[in-house]
Amino acid sequence: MAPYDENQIDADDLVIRRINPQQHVVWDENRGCRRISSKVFSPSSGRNDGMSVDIEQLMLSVGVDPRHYVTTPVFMGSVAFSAGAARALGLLVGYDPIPKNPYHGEVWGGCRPNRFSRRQKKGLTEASRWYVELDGVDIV
Amino acid sequence: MRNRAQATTAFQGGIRGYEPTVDPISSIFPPQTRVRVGVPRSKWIIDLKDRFDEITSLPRGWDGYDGRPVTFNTAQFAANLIERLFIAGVPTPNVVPGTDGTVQIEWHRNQYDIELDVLGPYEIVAFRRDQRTGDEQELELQTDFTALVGWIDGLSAEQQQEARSM
Amino acid sequence: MQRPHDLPDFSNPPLDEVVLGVQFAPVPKYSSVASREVWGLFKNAFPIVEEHLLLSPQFETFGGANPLPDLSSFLEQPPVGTRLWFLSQDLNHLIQFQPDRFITNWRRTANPLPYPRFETIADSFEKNLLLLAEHFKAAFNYQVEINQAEVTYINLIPVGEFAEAGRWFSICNSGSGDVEAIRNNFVQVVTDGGGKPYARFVTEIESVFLLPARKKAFKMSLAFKGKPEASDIPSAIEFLRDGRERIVKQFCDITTAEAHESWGRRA
Repeated sequence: MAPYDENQIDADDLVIRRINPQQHVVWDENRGCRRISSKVFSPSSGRNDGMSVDIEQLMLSVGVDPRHYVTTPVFMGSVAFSAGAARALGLLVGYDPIPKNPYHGEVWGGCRPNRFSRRQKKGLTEASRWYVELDGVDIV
Repeated sequence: MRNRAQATTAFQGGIRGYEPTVDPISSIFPPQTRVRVGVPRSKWIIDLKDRFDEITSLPRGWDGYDGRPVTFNTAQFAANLIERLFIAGVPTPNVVPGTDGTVQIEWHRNQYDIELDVLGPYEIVAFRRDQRTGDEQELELQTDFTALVGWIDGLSAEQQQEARSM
Repeated sequence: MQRPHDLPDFSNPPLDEVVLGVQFAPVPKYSSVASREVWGLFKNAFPIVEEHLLLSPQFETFGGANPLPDLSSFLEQPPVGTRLWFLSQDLNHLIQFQPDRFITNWRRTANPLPYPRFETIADSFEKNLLLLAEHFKAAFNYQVEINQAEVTYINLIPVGEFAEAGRWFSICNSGSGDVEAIRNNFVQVVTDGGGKPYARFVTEIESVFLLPARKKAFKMSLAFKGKPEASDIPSAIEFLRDGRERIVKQFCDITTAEAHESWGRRA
């Protein structure tokens, strides 16, 4: 999917990013906690690739329980941020349905779709809240 | 330890014109290939062996989307980088796979956050933040990691002790 | 390619093998099924095929206190595949191919013939590499991105006794006693005009026994390897050309005048 910004995704709509507890969590000795790595908020490096997400509104509109959907078939944690928060960082948020996930979306970088700046990664971290919380893990 | 093709030079094939006088440290003569003893590995690499095996064999979709395992070449390059930067007394880093075959090496210690995003061989985006001052540095590196040596040194116990005494 | 006019030259150098090679980002979606088409590019001149184990990736990086170790056995599950050798009928010429490497070897040992000279080997290597690149573009929509290149000269110097090392090498002096074996390696970091490291020069001298008669000899290997300035083929060829000149100069520097005379130094 070529990068674009979907105007049917409202600013307040939640964008969900899944967190693999075995792969995405690191030890932070500075803060004395386990926390999500910044690598989570990275797009894929393919030319038009972005960062995969799930669009909550799409699930709600067809009566799918988002929290159930993003924790199956394998349990994962997830965080969510508003589409408006992503856009405020210069990112694009769009639909990208795929056969295995009709609620799939992408967040793309503005200038470089497949690279987020440090400011953008930090901004996404700060805008994120637990959607399906992982016990004992901070978002930071 | 797997018995794989290794060479004293990068590309030399199995030349069958001679044999060495001493026990070869390289196994260049199949099928009498000897297991290579190799140079001693750092504690980091020893600690991370299982982790590297894990991230290079992650199943497709491991991230809940279309995530791929870390590519062999990127993992090899990252392991080389780790070995090159090893300093005794600095804890083993965290290693985090990306969705696209990349990998990030990171420490959060001594009031520093250091993240080395290995996007592929010879393609590293290195970031360091000093929590005390808020200063941030970002470097794009290919072959020369001299700048990172000082960063890693800042994570050592001695540096931690010095910071505490200030 | 023209030989530099001021480069030392020998009528009968002890050269046994010349290796030119490049490493590139692995071809996406390549599988061993496609190897037949690759062989098809070269099979007229290289009709014999052998299979060998994959070579591990090589990276010349700098900085840090530790030498770059061999990590080829580090991962329990390395990539699946084989390295293919395409050999000429006389066995003197060889192409090595795997999804991230392309290498050409000239070897004297198989069938003693005059050394064809670097320029001939390099021209042929470049031609074949371009063929391969065109094939990858057409078949996989993949542009070759070279990230490592190497040129290696391997010399075999027959001797009566290993104690003769000082006669041949200006950097070896084994003293007056009997010598059972010799091994001498050193690595030099090569920097560019701005002082930035970009390659390594590896010199290895070791005592060997020539087969089948087990005659004593010294093997001297001179290797120049690193990341070319850019990822395209012309940059790689320029890197190899530069490496060859350094190798010839090092060869002269670390061998003796007596050795040069015996090898017919012309310039």
